Amino acid sequence: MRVLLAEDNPRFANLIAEGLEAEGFVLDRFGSLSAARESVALDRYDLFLIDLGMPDGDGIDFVRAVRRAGNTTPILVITARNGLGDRVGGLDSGADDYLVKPFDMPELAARCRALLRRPGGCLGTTLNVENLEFDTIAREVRISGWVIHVPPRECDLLERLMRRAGHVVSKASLEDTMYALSSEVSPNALEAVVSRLRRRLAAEKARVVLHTAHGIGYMLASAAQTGQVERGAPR
Amino acid sequence: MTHGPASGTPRTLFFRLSVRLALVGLVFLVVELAAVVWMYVRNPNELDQLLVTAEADRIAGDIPQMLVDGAVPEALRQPIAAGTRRAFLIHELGGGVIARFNDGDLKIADEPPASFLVIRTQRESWGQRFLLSGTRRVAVEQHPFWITVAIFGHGFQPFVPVIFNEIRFHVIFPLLLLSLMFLLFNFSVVRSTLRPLQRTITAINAIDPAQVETRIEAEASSREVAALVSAVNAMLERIERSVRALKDFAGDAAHELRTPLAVMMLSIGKLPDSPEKAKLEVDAQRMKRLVNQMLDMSHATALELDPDRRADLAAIAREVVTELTPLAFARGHSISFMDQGAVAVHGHGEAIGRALRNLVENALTHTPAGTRVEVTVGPGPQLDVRDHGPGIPEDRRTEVLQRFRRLDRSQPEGAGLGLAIVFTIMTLHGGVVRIENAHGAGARIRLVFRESGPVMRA
Repeated sequence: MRVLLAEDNPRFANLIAEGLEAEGFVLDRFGSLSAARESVALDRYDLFLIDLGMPDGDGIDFVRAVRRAGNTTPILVITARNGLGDRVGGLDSGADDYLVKPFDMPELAARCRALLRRPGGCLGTTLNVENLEFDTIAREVRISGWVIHVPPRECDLLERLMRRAGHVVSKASLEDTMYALSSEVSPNALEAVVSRLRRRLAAEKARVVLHTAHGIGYMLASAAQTGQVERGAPR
Repeated sequence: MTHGPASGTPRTLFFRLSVRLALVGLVFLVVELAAVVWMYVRNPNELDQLLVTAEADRIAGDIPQMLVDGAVPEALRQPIAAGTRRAFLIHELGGGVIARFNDGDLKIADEPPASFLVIRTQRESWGQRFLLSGTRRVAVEQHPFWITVAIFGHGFQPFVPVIFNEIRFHVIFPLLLLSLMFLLFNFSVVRSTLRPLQRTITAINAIDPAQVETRIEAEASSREVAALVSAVNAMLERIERSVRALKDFAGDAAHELRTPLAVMMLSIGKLPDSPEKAKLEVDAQRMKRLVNQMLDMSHATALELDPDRRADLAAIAREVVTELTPLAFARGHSISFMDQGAVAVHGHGEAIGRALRNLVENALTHTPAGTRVEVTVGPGPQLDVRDHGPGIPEDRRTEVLQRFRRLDRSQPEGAGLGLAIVFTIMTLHGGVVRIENAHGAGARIRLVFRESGPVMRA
């Protein structure tokens, strides 16, 4: 997985490169937007990591230029600015996600993987949370390497939750994906599926927790790494 | 308008201009009077004619009565001017004498006017003394009569009543009329001249302090008002520039502080696991929150509200709760969200989100693990965050809204900015922050906005 990193602070760029390389990414580093621009034209990357505050221009303009050229490579923007209104500007320009400084390595790695896992992204078809695995092609669920049987509806639910592991998925969007074709949905249908899946995961000793956010939705998270979630909470 | 109540309300420009213009009118009146008096004093022949005419007119008034009783009425024996002696003789058409009055040796020869067309005045003077004689033709009941008058006197005194009469009819009366018209004219002119100023003041007063990009429309009618408007606009320009500079500073500070902090956090992440690493991570998290809060505070202070912008409280609250739920679970809290029929408010959605985020983060920080944080929107234009922690003592509720105030200073997290940010954003929106103790236990903080009607949902 080749990642283009545009970052002017050499120490920061080093730390990001070392961290992501430890996670299996290959990084090309550029200290200026003009250098990055040349490489974008010549090489193929799986992900762009762009710091918005670059010495030779605004990263937003770079993102716009890339998108205007028809390049659909996922872009993760790193920014020190999150004043009121800055956020919208970053995402409107065509970036897929943004990360506000400061952040820690697990959060950055997770964001990169999430972008690469998107439809058309290059990352494999298997989703992981702790000892829980989900193969999105074979629609197979494994816990600690053992395949377990999960009914189709629970499977759909699990996939959605694992794709957004560590974040809340709203009830409305879960209902939309699970009951798109059926005309009648009883108000408690989703709750019933969630509680069956929760019992199943616990019985099979998956090291994950399926949290309920009352009035909002559900969140799947690692049972051991709740501290990671805290650090990764976006501001 | 900065005078205190002790010095009284200053006069309006309208009043001052009107009074000054009225005084000018009064000065005109006095000058006119002086000029008229001076003119008559310098021109005694004019006065002679006037005095003779005045006597003739008075005598003519009594002709009908004299025709009836053939005698001179008692009142007519006294001349108009005090200190004079006066004789008169009245002829009718054909030369007949109607009446005659002699005052001692002052007699008029009984000789009809040389021609019935004659109107004359004649003066003979000996030093201060004078003898006036003259003939006037009058018409009484459509019959012509000739009145010949002789007046003997001395000095200027006899002419005073005539001058007075002249002034009364030819100066005071027309001048009073003119002055009245002048005053009315002043009133309307001054008022219409000052109207652009009044409109400008109204426009300046209508400026919302939060809208620094506002400018006033210049009134084309007068250069002075246009100058005032451009001075005010120049001042607004300077204010806008300094507000922008403040905002830029906040953004620059963000960049300058956050990059080294990010370097620090990534460096700490590379250290081998140890109790020291854990402590450093906590410290770095605290610093991150502090930097974020300081920036939130400076952004909130420099925020400008677009009056047309509306915010959907339910959508904002849902987003904030969704974002903060992982943090809540990580800290062992549960969190809930309820929409009880919120309405749209005028305001900056993201800023309102920041306010709510700070409330929820506060609740998550200051309450024990295992307790629930409940976020409710509505009914109406309000957001409500209720926790199950120790609550906020009643006597410290105003204090916690100030910057850098914390209830428990031994509590390491937070700089005491959270509620101050909330308060600043709410003040900007014209809303209020209500701190209560919830039924049961815990704090309940409500953000109450001004209502702005139903939300338009796509």
